[in-house]
Amino acid sequence: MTRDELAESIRRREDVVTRVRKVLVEALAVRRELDEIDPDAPLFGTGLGLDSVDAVELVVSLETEFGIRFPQSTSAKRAMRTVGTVTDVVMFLMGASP
Amino acid sequence: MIDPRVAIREGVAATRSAHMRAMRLSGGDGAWETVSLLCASEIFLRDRQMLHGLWLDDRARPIFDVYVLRDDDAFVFVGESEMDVVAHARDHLRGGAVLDDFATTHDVISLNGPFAWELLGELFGPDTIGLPYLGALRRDATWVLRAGKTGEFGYDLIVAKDETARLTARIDEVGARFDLAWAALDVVEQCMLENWFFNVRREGRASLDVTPLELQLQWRASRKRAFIGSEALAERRNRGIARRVITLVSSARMNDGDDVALDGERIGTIVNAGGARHGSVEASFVALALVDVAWAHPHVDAFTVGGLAARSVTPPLPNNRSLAINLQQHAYATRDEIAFGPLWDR
Repeated sequence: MTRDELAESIRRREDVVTRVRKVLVEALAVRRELDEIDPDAPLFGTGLGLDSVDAVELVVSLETEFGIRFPQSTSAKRAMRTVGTVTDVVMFLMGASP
Repeated sequence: MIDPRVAIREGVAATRSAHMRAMRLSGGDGAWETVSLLCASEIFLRDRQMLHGLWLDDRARPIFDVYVLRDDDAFVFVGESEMDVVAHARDHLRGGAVLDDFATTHDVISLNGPFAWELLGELFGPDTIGLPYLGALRRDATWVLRAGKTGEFGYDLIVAKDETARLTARIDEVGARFDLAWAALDVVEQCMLENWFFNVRREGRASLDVTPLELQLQWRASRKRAFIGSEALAERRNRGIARRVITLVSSARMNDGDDVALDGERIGTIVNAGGARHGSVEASFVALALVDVAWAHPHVDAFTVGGLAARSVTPPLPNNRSLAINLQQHAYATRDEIAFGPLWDR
């Protein structure tokens, strides 16, 4: 991969991260500015402080925002740990390399 | 004896956490004023509830990675630091606040592992098993705090010094049924690294001149109020950061201070180099690197560290077994019946 291709790949990921941040602020009412939400910020418990009820809302909101469908699986908890892990799953489900 | 790394990831390990500092702040409004000044985080706490906070110095560098526990009208702080945070707190007491240093009166013992909850229940009673994350309770002279930085169930026990020997013996006695190992600090730090838990002694050390912005710890720093370091933090935010911390893996050992390069150009430095992940795993070595923000992203496989290939990944790395634990159904004795996924799959 050339440096330009790498920069383009990073830009595509940043676009998805920005949209995930917007979902957190607008649909989940996370009281933070968008640039306050770091790429690897934890989502639940500590971190951004989401709870188990928010988890359902987050999945529904991400499915709507990105036109994807989250599979029911035992790996769901792992996928929802940070902004970054959510971004990985969203990009995978969109058919894009994360 | 079981490898302490295996104990943390698959069973339970205990640690004599002599590196942790604990203190209690009381004194009504003065205590509230003091904690608001010292702690960068937003402080909304019910009684017996904790938050994972951060104290900064006046340059916005982290000095205390701290759990703040509300204890009626007082606060208990327990955490990790490289500096004398008790003296720092005493220098900033407000309005009649009183600080009690636990260094001479209490010890901290930590339990970590996917079955730490079960051992805790045996030690302190079954009602302790359901203690929620960032919850706390008191048993006689011991504070039980649900915390942990390994990605597994974790508890910090603040125990009165005259009770430490008895509790330690009890942990050994009951822990034998859990194949308990005592884990040294370096083992816990490796697990912290693998699970993306901040280490104030490593990537947070003062010489790196990093703030919550570079460390991806903005969730622990309020933008809505003043505290020690808030002006410096706002100034750096307005100026924009040049570097950010990311996680790298490599098949070769990485060392603190190693250059991180992209196409032969130096773009960063290793700031927290760990040992190998236990078990047979590709790209076994883990490190944190402080790199130019333009390249501070996961899934970049073109980095080199010390001339050898490294790639950035999305933390946390382990598929922690604690995520698959059901407290009503599971037990260490029947752990082989639990369908855990692989600990490492990347």
